Amino acid sequence: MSTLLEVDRLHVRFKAMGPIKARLVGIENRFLDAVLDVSFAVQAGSTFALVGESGSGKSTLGRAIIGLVPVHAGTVKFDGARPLDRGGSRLAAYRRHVAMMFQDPVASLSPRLTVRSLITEPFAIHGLRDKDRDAEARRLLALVGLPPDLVGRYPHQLSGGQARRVGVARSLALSPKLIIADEPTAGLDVSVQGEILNLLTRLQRELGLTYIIITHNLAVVRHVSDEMAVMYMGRFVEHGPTKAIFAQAAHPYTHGLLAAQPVPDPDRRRDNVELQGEVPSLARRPSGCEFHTRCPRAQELCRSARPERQTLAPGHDHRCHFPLVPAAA
Amino acid sequence: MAADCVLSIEGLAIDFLTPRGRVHALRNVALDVPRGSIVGIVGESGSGKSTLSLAALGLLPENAVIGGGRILFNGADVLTMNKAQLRDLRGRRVSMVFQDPMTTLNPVLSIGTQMVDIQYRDRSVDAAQKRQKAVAMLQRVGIPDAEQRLARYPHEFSGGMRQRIAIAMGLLGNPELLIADEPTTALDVTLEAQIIHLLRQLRREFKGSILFISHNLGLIAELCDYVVILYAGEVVEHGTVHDIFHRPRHPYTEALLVCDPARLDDVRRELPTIPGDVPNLLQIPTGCVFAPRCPKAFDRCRQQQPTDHAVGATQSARCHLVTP
Repeated sequence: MSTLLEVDRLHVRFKAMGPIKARLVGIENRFLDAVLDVSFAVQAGSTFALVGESGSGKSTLGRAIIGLVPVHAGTVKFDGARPLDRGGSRLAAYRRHVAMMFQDPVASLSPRLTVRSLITEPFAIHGLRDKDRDAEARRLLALVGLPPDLVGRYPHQLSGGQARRVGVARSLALSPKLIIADEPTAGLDVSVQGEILNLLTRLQRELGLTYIIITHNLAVVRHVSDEMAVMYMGRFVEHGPTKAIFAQAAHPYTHGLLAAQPVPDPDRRRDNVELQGEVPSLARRPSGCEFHTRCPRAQELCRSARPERQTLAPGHDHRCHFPLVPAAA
Repeated sequence: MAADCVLSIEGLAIDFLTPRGRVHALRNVALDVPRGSIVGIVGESGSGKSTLSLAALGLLPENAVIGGGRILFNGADVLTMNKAQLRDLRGRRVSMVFQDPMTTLNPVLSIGTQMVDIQYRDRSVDAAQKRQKAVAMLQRVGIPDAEQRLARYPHEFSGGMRQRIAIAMGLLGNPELLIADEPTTALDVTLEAQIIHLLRQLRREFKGSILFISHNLGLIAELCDYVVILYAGEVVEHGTVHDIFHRPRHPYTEALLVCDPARLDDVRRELPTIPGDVPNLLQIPTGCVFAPRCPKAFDRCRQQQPTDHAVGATQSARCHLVTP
């Protein structure tokens, strides 16, 4: 397998307030660092999952990769090129190869366009006017398992599952290599969730697609991804093969997330809640390890020193002073 | 189920009048909430679980038509209550926690004001005491610095905190029944676990009953004593949480359990699904509602509607296969 996407020390920073207000309010850092020092690579044809609580920066990272939010520092390499660097023409070409599937499919489909216009809009945007749009729309609908006579419908006439499929069809319009799917199954019933995930798996097999799936549903991550990264306050706290992380999580945050998943078995009820509280505000980052305010294993060192990235096994690394798994000698 | 029930629904049928015709949202629905227990209602979108909870509070929209049945709250029928009786019921004897805490709280009033206002019925105590009660309740649901936070507005709280406040407000009237309609859907798993833990604790402290509505089987297994499975407006199976999760008898219940990726032990790319679509509630098919999607359906299922068949003392399924 070859590397399709390579992200190196990516940093996304939003300005929260001007310098004068920052001084008045007494906040030292007037920027919000939504993504901090993130590096990873995605192999062609594989599925990479980004997990974390709301506000962990996973959606921002996805948007930064496709160039929807400006990158403060770091690089994104796609197929050997660096499309986000200066010069707009390369960005347009890059966006043909990378498609985004947004969270809420009904909200991301314009209510005033028909399904035909919705899924063929990318052709107009990218200047491919010679395509037979009606035939293309029918072809794409067939690809995602929808009846072709849906082309004349409006989004409000679709069910939740159908709207998702239209979202998938639209992202496939330009035959991309990489699809970034932000919460592809949030809000769906379990039976429909399975259908959408099976569809994504089938398309990956047939079209050789690469996926980055952003989700907080760990049960889904376990089944569909090859590699995963757990984000907390903009950083990767753990990153590695999905199998290895589910077998034994190294970072207490990963462990806590896994333990928070409800087990559908009344005989295995949990009596205690491992992860208390919520993610702190990005404007006031905790010192040392950012997770120490919620970590059940935090010690003095965690409050003062930030843990560096440590490698546990080839391709599996974490940021924790006291990991749950000792590194192999 | 137990004889002493806070809420007991019998043969309930509700239709909605729409421009496209009559939608048969609930048909012959029976449900018991034994005092002090947590009953879970599981169903996919469009199964009628929210309609059921709104009906229990007399909150149905104007185009709803009651086709029959009774909703007995401590023996009194909610469907025949007048406005004064309903006012007495809502918020005091039955309260509700909704899915999205941002839309339940008033954005332009501080939460202190809202929590005092909601105690308007209690004329025996003054505003200062009501504030004290609000503070005590906020502490109960795990909000730190409750005293200072009373002056804050809903947007100053995170989603998890807002849902805790909504639960605190629901409990202020010390209700006999709390209806929670998908209370954790908008929250992260970590907060979800905290809210479930909180509800379990509160049940012990307040000795109330909870009707918990969710499509998340994991949460139902974590929290509930009894489970009711709703499909396309019918109760297809009900029983204790152990009956439902360990010995499901209705093919729909079995299919739902199989579809939950959290229950699959082995990792696999191809996930199980329930093929087909939910039936159109404008025209209910003859026979069993689940027959068009049921892997075990046979001729009789398509012709004759099954009745409820008891399985042991606590479980019952509406399926021809369960015929003794």
